[in-house]
Amino acid sequence: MKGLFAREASAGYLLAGLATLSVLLVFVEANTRFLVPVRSVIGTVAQPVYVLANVPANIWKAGGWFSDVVSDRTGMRARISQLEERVADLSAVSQQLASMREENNRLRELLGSSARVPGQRLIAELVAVVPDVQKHRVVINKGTADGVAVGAAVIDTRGLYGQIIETARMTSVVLLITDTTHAVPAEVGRNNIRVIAAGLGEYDHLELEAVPKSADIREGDILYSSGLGGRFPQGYPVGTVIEVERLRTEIFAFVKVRPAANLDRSRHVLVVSRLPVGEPE
Amino acid sequence: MIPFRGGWAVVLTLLLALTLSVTQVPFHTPWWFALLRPEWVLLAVFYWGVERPDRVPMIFVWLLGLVLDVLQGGPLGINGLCLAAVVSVAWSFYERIRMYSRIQQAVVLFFLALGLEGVKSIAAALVQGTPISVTLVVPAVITMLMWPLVAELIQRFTRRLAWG
Repeated sequence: MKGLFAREASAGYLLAGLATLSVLLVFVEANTRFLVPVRSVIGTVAQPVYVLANVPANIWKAGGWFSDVVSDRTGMRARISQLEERVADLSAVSQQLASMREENNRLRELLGSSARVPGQRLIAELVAVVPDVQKHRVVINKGTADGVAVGAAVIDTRGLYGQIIETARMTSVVLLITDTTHAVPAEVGRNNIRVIAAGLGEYDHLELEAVPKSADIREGDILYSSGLGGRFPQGYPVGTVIEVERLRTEIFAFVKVRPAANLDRSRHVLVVSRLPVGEPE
Repeated sequence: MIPFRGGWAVVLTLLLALTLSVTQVPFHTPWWFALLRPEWVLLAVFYWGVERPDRVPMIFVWLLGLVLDVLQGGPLGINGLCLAAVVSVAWSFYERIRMYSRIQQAVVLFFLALGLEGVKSIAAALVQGTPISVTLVVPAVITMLMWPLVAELIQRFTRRLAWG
């Protein structure tokens, strides 16, 4: 332990240096985008830790990794037939969808507006949940290697789920629509009133921002993404209005929305890019 | 990574601590459940900082902090700063801290953990606008309570190693 005493003298300088560097990093990251690739590289290096950390949760969860590997034949058969039924059901719907899209585009052509191009979809699986109650973020198993880019929208089988905020090579981080820092431009399906659905940090509801008390919004209205922010594709369900309160003392109406997506349950999500090529940055 | 005999024990402990600090919390637990997570990496760094101060390079610990920042989605550099400070405390006072009982060591660790939580909260408030809440004391207390157990466990498992 001879070397230690020589090191002790320089320890103060070393700490001062590292502290300065840390503070610098925080400032640079808060104000610029220079550190995005740095974070991405560290995320790629640290990815095994995430996978390791989620092994117990995956084993524990019913229908998780463990039962994917080990499951009995009857259960599997039942599941397969269930899934086949669902596929048949959905393909029936999507047959119509194709013709309707064509028809819709023809009608849009007649109206003189541009046709809608379906974006690309990519199925991803949740590999981890960021362990902080303040942050609604999850990690998915698709990254830049699969073409995922920051800003891409994420949906699950029921509706809008979130957006990509960080990418590493094999994984990326999704910010859920319920995070306190998140807001989605949406519209009411019934009458196309434009609203903004902001996250409150709770998985079971969102709040509409700055809705005039005179706005025609009722309980049971379904909200769809309006695509106006340029980040989310248009027409995905955001949620259902569950509570409307118009207080005399307030300027705006208080509207509570239940998210359509299974934010706390989905294991599989879809990454959709609004444009077929590139990213909407 | 760290060129010395028995270094793998340090690396392994730190890796385990890193893993524990991002283990998934089930969605449907009450909101305060996630507060009960001790600062595993702080515990491990403090243990090795005091036990083998010559074996824990500060720059390595700082880099570990960066990884932790990315894993936890916090501002880059905050955990590095705090963990480097913990190492420097360990380097300066390791002889004294070693003489302490586990309980006294736990008290020292409580203040270190409180500092870490405080710095993290302030950084989050400045950068991400999250309000600072008194609940930041809870992880510090949990870390303190975990210390005797963690220290004994690491000691048991690494006692038989032949240190160079």
